[in-house]
Amino acid sequence: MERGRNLSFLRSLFRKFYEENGALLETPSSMERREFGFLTLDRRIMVRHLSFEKKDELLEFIVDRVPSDCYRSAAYYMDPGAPEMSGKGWLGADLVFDIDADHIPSPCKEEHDRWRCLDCGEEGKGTAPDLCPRCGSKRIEERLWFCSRCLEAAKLETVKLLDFLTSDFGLTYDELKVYFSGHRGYHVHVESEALRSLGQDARREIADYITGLGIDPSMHGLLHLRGEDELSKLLECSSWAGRLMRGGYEFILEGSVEDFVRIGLSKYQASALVENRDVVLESWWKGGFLKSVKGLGRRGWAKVFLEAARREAALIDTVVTTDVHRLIRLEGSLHGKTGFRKTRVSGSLESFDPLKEAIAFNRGEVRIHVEKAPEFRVGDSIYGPYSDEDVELPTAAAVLLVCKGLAYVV
Amino acid sequence: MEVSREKLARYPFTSEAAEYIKARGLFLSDFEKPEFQVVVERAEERIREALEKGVVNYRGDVVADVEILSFPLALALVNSIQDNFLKHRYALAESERARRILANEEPRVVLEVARDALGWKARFVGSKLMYDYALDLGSYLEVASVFHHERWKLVNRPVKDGYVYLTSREFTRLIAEGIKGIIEDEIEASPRGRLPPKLGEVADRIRRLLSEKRPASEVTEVVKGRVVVEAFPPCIKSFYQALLKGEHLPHVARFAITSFLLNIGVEVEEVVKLFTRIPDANERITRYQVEHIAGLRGSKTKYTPPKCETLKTHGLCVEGGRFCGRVKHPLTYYRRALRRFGRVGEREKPELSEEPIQEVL
Repeated sequence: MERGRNLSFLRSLFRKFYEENGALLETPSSMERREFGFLTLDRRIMVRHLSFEKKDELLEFIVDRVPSDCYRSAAYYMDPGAPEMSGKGWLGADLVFDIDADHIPSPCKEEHDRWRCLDCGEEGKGTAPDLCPRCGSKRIEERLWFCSRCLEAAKLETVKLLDFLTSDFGLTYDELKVYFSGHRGYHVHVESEALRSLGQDARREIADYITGLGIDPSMHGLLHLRGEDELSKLLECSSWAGRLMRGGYEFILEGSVEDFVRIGLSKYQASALVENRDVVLESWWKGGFLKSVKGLGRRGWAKVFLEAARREAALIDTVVTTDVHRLIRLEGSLHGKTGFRKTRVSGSLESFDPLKEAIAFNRGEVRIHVEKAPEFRVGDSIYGPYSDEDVELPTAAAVLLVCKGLAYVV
Repeated sequence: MEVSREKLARYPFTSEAAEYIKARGLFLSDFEKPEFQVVVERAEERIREALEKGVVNYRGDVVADVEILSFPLALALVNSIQDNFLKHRYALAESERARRILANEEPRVVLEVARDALGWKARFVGSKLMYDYALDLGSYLEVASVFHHERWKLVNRPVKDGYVYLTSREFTRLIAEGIKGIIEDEIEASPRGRLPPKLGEVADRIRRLLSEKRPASEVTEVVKGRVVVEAFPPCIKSFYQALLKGEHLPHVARFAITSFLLNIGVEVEEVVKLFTRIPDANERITRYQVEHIAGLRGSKTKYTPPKCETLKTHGLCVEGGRFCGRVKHPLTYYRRALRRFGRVGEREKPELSEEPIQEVL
């Protein structure tokens, strides 16, 4: 009953949105070569293997069916509408990166993520446990929330990713498009002819490069440095060497004895590093740090640089980047879990406010009954927390709670 | 003119060389003529060298034309024998020949070969850096992702502004790898039909040599009707145990264990049973997915498990593979472990390895 009301509420809102804002929906380049897919609003079933020649046809389909989520392939196919992957004739794929708060440790999750045991009803905050602490059941439902802080953490990772793409891979800003996903993170699409035909192995190398997986500091020349000249030559051709140096500098500047022990240095080495901090930093960019701490040899320095790599890497979802058949959310379309739009970041990423710029529903207010919701922000206003109460909220805020399954329309 | 012909003799796989050869308008039957006897001999020698030494010599001492024309003839001979081992071996030996020649060339020539034969964007950066060449990222990834040493991993290379920096040695090694690919394609594309009599005799001699040189085929691995859980690689074992306990697994892990089990001969039914231990599993959906991976549905492709590197990327490898030796694929681990178990089994028949998966399930 309540669910039915929610569905028809969302269906008419989503339909109206697409009817009136067709211009906000972006179509991918060579759209006739892309596969499209949609999640149905009511049963959340994936309908895929569709193709559209023109934007009009696509819009007509969306307005007619009103899916909760719209997707399109990162890949280009000879026959994108073929019912089997093998029959599509893969021609290449854009390089796609997904940065999601799910993959980034942030303290706010403990505050706003919730879980509930489907067997005994036990509830708790933070990341869901494997087993219900009360009844031992494994049937645990997660309710992930998102807030300015986790979105900020995701943004920071995106900034790091963009540095990899531009200064390491030499991509220009024309080849990159940055989007807020509409939920917990950012997407970066790269349309580069030179990289389009890369297979899975090559894309895995790219993912590993960005996450720093398998990095060996000795191969970047830093563990055998002989002075400033050599360092500057290294930095001229190796972006990762630069990152290791910057990250290492920062780590040493801020690190405590405990921090150094945590990365695997002995108590003695850690104390020596702290005592000699000034000397180390002084000699750092002159390439003379290797001999600056007695008792700290190459193996110790390698540990410092591995920590630097961990800090400098960007936490992308490796599955998305390596999958050459991936469907990704259609640009400008609505996110079924929030009612926000997947929104292009056209200006500076730093000043982009996703909770404001991704709002799709600007008009009117809706009366809803909220079962339980934490405090949250939409646009410039802060709402909640709510618990089992009727409230009247601006449409965007109401839709968010309804999409999240925390409220129903009254 | 002579200089350029010499260059074609060194690099007969380039499009320039192909054009030169084409312009001669030769058919296989022309090689029966006495004036081509020396070309036929050199073609046979090329293939012999590949099989015997793993590298084709560069014969700077013969007439350039012999060195040029014997190359496409050798490709045609190799193609007519239709043997994968020979094809790979020959392409490898020709690419090794090219690598050795390139090692002594001026940077200008090396870059020309990289550009003309492979379409790479590269430049010489000189020894003012510690590297000699910079190669565009896309080309690097395409050719180097077949190498598995950590030195070739992109994350361990100097990369800047879309270029990967390489020493001379590394660059020529990559060019050779690229050339190997080209030669394999050229073998496939070369004429294949009934050979004229004299060439037929050559092909027969090569076949005889091939049967001597071919490595003994791999021992067939599966102990029929028996699945040895103890021989599973650590990653698969951990997924397997998680499933037995009814725990959730990430998608890639589910795919890995499903395709692994199917590939070692476990029945679809048994795999479905394993998955339905997860409390909220939907048997219908599980069955569909397992059948899909088994190649019974959808694209009809039977999937193999992801290789070790992929599992590493997704954080599913157990302790960086330190229990696995130099294995690159979970199925390879299993086959090797199985041989080990098999050998033990013949004498002692340890109970552990006797346990069929059907009972465990």
